[in-house]
Amino acid sequence: MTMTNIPGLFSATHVAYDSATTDRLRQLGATNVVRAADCLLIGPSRRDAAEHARARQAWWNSSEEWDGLYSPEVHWERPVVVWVSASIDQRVNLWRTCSWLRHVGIASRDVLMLEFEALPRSKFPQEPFPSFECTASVVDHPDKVLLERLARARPFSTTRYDRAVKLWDRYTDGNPSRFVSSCSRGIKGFPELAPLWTVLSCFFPGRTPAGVLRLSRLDELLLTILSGEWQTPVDVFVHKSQEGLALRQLSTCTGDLFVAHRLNQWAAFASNAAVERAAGPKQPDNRMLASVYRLTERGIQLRDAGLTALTDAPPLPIGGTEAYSTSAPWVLREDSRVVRL
Amino acid sequence: MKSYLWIAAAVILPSFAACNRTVGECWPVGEGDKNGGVGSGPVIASGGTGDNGDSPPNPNDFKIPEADCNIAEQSPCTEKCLASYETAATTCGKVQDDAQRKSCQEGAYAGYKTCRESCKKASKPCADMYVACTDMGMPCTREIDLGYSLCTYCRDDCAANRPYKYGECYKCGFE
Repeated sequence: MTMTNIPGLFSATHVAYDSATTDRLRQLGATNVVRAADCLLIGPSRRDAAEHARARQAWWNSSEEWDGLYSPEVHWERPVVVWVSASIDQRVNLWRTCSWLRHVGIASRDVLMLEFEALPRSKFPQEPFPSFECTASVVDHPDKVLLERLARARPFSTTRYDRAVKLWDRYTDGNPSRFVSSCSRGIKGFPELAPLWTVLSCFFPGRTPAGVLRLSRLDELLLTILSGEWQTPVDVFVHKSQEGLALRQLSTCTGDLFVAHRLNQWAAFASNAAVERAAGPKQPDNRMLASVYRLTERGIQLRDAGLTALTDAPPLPIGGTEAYSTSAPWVLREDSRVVRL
Repeated sequence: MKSYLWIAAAVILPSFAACNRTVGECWPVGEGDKNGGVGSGPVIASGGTGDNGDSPPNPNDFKIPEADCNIAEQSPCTEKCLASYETAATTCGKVQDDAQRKSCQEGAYAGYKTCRESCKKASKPCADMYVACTDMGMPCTREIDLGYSLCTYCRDDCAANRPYKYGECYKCGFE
């Protein structure tokens, strides 16, 4: 069975949030598939589409078009079918899709939502599962299930659609406090909010009750795993320690290549020399082995004693704001709320 | 390889999951208080309550190895061993001659134990396989989705003990 057996839907516009789903939908007969496979949990996000695209391109500096959502080449044939898994990064892309489709004038009743739950987790994982879900994909489900769900696809209610659009507005807001409140409070129909903040909060620097500024959880993990010995990003990623495990869990939401990306940011950060970089064993196209890194005395000090200022660490855009930014000095309190310094 | 193990696991799981646990012994459901009959399930000798079946098999004693009642100890690899053992034990159970049946069952169980030992040795950490994958370079290290290499997708599936989304994982150092 393919999509051609479901009248009116094989010619619809299908939106997929990872490459595997994009390929599977094409194999099933979909002719108009939009891949929107950008991981929005890291890097800048903007409400304005053009600005968003520019900011993302500058952030990743990638030559491939991973995100076709805003592409002028897309013909938005109705209905639009959105295929989304339980991965929290895909859920954020779902909000963005709702916002964009409304912007281009497609009514919510013409947007069919196919939400796929995560499969039950194995009883025998080699490593413990994190509390959040970032590895689920639509293709975890067999073709039969995909087509059955497609045959009875329904749009969101107007209320739920409005909420999704509003969530994108809040996610891209320069002031993250309202978004964080939404995550804490929860919103009906969006179970991803609490685990999403569990992940995003790892990217913000912390402030202790005594007022000491701390590295973000992500950077604390990196600078704890790093040592005076040269290590490749692979060495850091597979480190046999609790920090290594926590980093791998977090990396399910960012990708492994972000480990190399962040280490590069640290090494290139001009205001101090917390991390040093040298040529690694492989060519630049092998990003996880192209360089080696080691921690300096300054890095040890930052890790152990904390930051003297937010500018001690390389900035990291998250949603509509930026971690370690002096212009947007948001820090994480011990109760997991963000406040301005 | 891994998908084969999953198929084997899927075959054995219903009988395995239906394992009744009593003090020191466990039985396939429906066989606990009666002779399950030849070929009705895994056949293993019990040298006494709570052992792991190390003593010679007794054809009247049909039960799953003690260790296999503890789900936490299982892996796809050991499940494959159990599946193979179940098949072999079923065949042995059809042997009419007592001595030959006993010998057959001993052989089946010896094979099962060897298989489990092999699993222990073969349980290579997914992180090690990720290292091997990354060391291979392209196409194993290619970016599948923005920020995600093929190697990390393979590692995620490996660590979660689920089938690989990408068959190429087998060519890129994953088992």
